[in-house]
Amino acid sequence: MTSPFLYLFVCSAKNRVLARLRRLREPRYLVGAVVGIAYLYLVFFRSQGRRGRRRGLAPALPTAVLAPAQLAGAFVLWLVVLARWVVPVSRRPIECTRAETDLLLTAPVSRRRVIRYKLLRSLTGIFLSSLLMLVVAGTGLANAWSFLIGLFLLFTAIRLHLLGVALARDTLVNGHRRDPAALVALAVTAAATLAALRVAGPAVAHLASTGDWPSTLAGIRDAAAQPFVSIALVPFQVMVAPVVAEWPRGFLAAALPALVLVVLNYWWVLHAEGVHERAVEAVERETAGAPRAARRPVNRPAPFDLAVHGRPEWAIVWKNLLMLGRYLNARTLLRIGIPVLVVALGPSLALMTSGKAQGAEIVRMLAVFAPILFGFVTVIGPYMARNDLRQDLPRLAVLKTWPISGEQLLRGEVLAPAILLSAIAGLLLIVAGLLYLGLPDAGRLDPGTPFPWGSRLAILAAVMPLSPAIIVMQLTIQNAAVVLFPAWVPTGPTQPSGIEAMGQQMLLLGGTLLLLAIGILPGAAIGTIIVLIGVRWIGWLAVVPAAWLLAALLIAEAYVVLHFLGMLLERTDPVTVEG
Amino acid sequence: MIDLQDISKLYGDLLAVDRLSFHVARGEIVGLLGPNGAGKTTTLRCVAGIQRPSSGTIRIDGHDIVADAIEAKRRLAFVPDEPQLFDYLTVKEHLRLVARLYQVSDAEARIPGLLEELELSAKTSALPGELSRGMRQKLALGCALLHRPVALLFDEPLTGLDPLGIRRVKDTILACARDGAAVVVSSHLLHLVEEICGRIVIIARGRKVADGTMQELSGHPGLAGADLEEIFLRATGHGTGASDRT
Repeated sequence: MTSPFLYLFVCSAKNRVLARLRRLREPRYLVGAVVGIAYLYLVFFRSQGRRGRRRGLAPALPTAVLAPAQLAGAFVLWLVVLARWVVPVSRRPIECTRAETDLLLTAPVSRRRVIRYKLLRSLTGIFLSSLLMLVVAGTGLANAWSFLIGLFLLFTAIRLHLLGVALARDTLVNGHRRDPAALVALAVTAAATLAALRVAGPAVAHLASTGDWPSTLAGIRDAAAQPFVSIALVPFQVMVAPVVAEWPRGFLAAALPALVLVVLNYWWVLHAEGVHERAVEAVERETAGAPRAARRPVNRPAPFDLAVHGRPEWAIVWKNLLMLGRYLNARTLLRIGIPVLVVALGPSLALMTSGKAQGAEIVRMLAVFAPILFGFVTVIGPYMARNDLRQDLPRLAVLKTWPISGEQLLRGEVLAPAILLSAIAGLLLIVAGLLYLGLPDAGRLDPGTPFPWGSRLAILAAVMPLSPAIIVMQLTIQNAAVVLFPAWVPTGPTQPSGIEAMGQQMLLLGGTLLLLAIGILPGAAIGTIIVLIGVRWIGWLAVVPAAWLLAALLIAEAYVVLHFLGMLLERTDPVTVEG
Repeated sequence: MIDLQDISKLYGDLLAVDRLSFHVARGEIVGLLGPNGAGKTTTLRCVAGIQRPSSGTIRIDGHDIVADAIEAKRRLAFVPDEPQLFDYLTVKEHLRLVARLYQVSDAEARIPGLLEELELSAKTSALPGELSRGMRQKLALGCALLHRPVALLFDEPLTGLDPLGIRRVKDTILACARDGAAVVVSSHLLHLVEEICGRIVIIARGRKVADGTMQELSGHPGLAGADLEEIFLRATGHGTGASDRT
């Protein structure tokens, strides 16, 4: 890296760290940082320290595990590379910021130097990702250094190779100048694909006829040992080897070939002059304000046709659903939902009509995943779907010019993500219900006592209203936090990063769950009484009125909270929530 | 100084600039006018070396912007409509970075004076996020002027500036031209162009439709006494009813 770029890199890194540290002077970031650090310490370091002390140094991977792990890793890498050759990526191969475009591309330095700077700068992110994976995997790993440096080499090589593939694919498809290095890379991937087919084909056939996993895996190991297959997979195995190698001797032996591959890929990307100029052109076209007509139009279907008359809340809902329109809308949900229902209903009906146990394991497996996903969408979904006031707060000045009350505005804001999440949760609940209905022994309370269908339906009917109510309540709390403590909640389209931001998110999550628990208490207390009394006469059906009552109370609480929040929002000065 | 010969720029099938030629001499300020989507920004970005023209040649002080890019860019400065700065470089670090990129030998001596002139002396350690829009624009201007370019390109230079800022930028553009630089100013502000530009080039749909001084342009038949607005509308095919009657 030559001096101006080194200067840019060092100064930017230094100022980034200083800015983060200066930010800690604000209580919201300081508290967030304390919570974030405490969380990391308790979850990763402390628990792993205990485990480490208990067992001493963790043993290295045994050879019996090492070889299959390396083979599996090589297959995953091959799949990633193959996907990049086959599937075009809409993302730009090399991303230049506007500042880089306007200040570096206009400066008297070659484009190759700009690209080299971009490539080398991306290594910082790759190293941090490797470090994060080390923390998540466990600092008590026996070969932590191998794991860290090996991952860094692996990610660097794959990043460079995928970049080269994206550029080469473009030139090959468009019939531009042939790049010999690109043809070599294509040949390597093609050979690995043939090898993978030679391994996977017989394995799938064997598994289908015998259903025996151990013999199938043994077959895969034998097939992978064939000369052609083992040679064809060498580049991929070489990249995985340092990650699982023993530190330091095994690692040094494994790292050298991996390093050679990294250098080769770096050389390929940097020196494929024709391709790399095309890459910069692609960046320029995107960043240089090229006429819109030259770009592919983006189809953004509206979630529904908005009538010009009616309650203004629906206009807010429509607007906020439109924000997601590019990715998700009612039509997309139907397109996904109907096949999902068919897939769920098919095996379930087959089980019910055949009365045989064959296939029950597959249905059981699916039946486990559906409720887990349902719970995830209901509890975590409100934090992820942020198309409400959390997105709109920076535009509060504009929103306040609209002739609608704060309460109406907030109702519309909360309803948009609530409708979306409730639809997804409802779909998952129906899928789970259909799958469980088919299982002959699902939910058996004790061996020999099947859970009757009526009771299963009762539980389904009870859970059905609870999910939207919990979603609405959580969204109400999240939006209340935005109105009451705008400085503590991230607003706008971009989310802050860093340990302090993570701590803030955790505080928000904890606070929301606590308030949700408080909100649930009255309904839960009355519901428990209803169940205790009703179960004697109507059995499990008693949970249905209890759940519906709880859901109704939660919605009523949310309605009241939104009313008062709306009044508060009307008095909020947009200046106080900016920035 | 700035010489465009038959440059064209294609985006796929779309011809953004179509065989455009014009020349800007030392000390001359040329206004580049055109409706939205006419190809002004694309032209400026081709001249700045950000984009490469699909055909034609661009020379800066005799150096081809494609074949001899380094030497051409050494003599050039580009000031975009929105000041594009690095988020994590301070004011002073921006100038030092530019000094290194352009190999400005007297940068250490020049930077304090430039900061003073741009009224940024009190903000040397500030990051762009801590600066107002006007201050960021001033910094972008400082980055452009540090290496004493002989060819300057301004894309909508007055966007978002207050009256004092507008006066300062206008003075800077005029001072650059007085010092012998060739200047191209792209703007929708016709009064600005009329006030500071010695010559005007009007483009529409990527093609040059008018080129000359105000006097030459208003000397065309049917445009006698017309102001720049009228000339612009007529040249771009949007003649007003009033002018149609003339």
